Amino acid sequence: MSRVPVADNEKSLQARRRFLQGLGLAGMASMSYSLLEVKAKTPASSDKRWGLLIETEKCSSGCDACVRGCNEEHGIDDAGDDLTRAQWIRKIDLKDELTGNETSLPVMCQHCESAPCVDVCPTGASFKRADGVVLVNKHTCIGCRYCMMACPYKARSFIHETLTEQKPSAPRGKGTVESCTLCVHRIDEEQDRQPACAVKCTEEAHSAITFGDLNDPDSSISQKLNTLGGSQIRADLQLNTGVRYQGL
Amino acid sequence: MACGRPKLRVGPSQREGGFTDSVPATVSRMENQSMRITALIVCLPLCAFGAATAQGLLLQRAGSQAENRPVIPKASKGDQCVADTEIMRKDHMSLLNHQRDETVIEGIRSEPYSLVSCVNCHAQTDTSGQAIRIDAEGQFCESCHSYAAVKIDCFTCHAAKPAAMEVIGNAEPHLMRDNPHTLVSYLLNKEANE
Ligand code: HEC
Ligand code: HEC
Ligand code: HEC
Repeated sequence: MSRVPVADNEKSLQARRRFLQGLGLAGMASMSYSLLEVKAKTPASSDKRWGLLIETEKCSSGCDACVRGCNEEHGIDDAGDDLTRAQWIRKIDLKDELTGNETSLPVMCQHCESAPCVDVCPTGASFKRADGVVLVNKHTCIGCRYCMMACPYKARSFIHETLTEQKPSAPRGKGTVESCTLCVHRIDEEQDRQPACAVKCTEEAHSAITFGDLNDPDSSISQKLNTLGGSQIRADLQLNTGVRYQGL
Repeated sequence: MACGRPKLRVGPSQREGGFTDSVPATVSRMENQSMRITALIVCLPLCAFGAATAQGLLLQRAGSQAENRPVIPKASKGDQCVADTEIMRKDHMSLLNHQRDETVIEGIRSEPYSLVSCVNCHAQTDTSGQAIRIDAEGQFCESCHSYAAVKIDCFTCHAAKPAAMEVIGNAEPHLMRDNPHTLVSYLLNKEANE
């Protein structure tokens, strides 16, 4: 994992922002209305690198809790043609022909450090946030779908039809590409808030998905990766993915 | 405005029928003291006349404008906007565009010009308490935009109605709208259930 060095003045700026945020929090205790203001005041920072760890031995074939959690959160309709409908997470079942060993795992945007989708985008709409989250800026996406072709994980979907009744927190619309956002709208909103897939997986008693900061050695995701390691899908491509798997 | 115009017109140049005379020529000929007094005498009534006509015209225009003006539905929540109403009328598009880049690219979510918030305060409910799309005909965003021939695509992606929670707040005001405590417990419950 690469850790991007942060310039000293940037660090002191961040410290100051944290201090100011602290003041804000103190003020909030006296004004409950401001509860609605517990939101990211600071920009996404390269101090962090968000990632997911998927423990495949806890993940069972036939369970699609994470997919349901994701679909509910973003108002994704799971009906329709598998070739054209939006799929931010796909459940994949693998079987080793020699040993008969079976594995089941969810595959979503792998939030690569060197993301091919970002490289090929002609408008800069496909981009990587400072904290490692790879996103589509739908305001500048022209729907050319180069990114979909460049992605080795088949993680992106194109919206073919006019949509209605979208969720306020998840704007989506015809003619643009989309994929897993690591639920930025949730994780920016409040500290320790988890992406919807991880929440649902835990709710249904599997706890196969751990979300956290790969740059923080004390985070539970880093601890788990430290003890048991974690592999990347198509590690040969050297994309340094933010989504890691155990038991593959 | 009313005093700038007569200055150009009065003086000998006008009596000579020379509307085309340049200003410096007029001024040089006005060096004569008596000429200046004459100019003043002519200027004052002209000034008054000009001002009166202008006012009349303005009043007339205001009258016809009032008839065609868009009827903008009142905000359904809050007593004031996220910035001065004057500023919002003029600059909401740049405020929104600025905020969308800050939020999407940088992940800053505390800024006031969130599109979700506009919908939360400005979307109306029908008589049965159901939310109406904010971009429907005659509704908040559409009222001005159809008047000014502006077309926006924001609501092909963005929700044009408040989230369910906001609708509850609208339909049952005693539940949450003005009561921070019920709002807090609602949010905490919601969090616990997630
Ligand atoms: C093709 C779909 C699409 C269209 C069209 C679109 N947006 Fe967005 N917009 C998004 C997505 C996706 C986000 C990111 C949501 C998030 O991360 O929470 C977003 C976020 C935003 C945000 C920041 C979040 C918020 O609610 O404040 C603003 C502001 C915004 N858009 C304004 C606009 C405006 C103004 C227009 C019309 C001129 C527009 N958008 C059109 C998809 C769209
Ligand atoms: C806290 C609630 C609230 C929020 C949030 C809010 N507004 Fe307002 N807005 C108001 C109120 C109250 C007025 C005063 C006029 C009225 O009562 O409609 C107003 C007035 C306006 C006006 C002038 C309307 C007129 O009659 O000329 C515009 C334009 C406007 N808002 C746009 C926006 C936009 C765009 C957003 C989102 C960035 C937004 N508002 C967010 C409450 C709100
Ligand atoms: C007080 C009248 C008024 C209201 C209410 C209003 N608008 Fe506007 N809006 C305008 C005018 C006028 C323009 C065009 C300005 C120009 O072209 O210079 C405009 C332009 C825009 C633009 C830029 C369009 C473009 O093509 O560049 C966006 C985006 C926008 N409005 C969003 C909104 C949203 C969202 C709402 C509802 C929350 C809203 N407006 C409500 C008057 C209004």
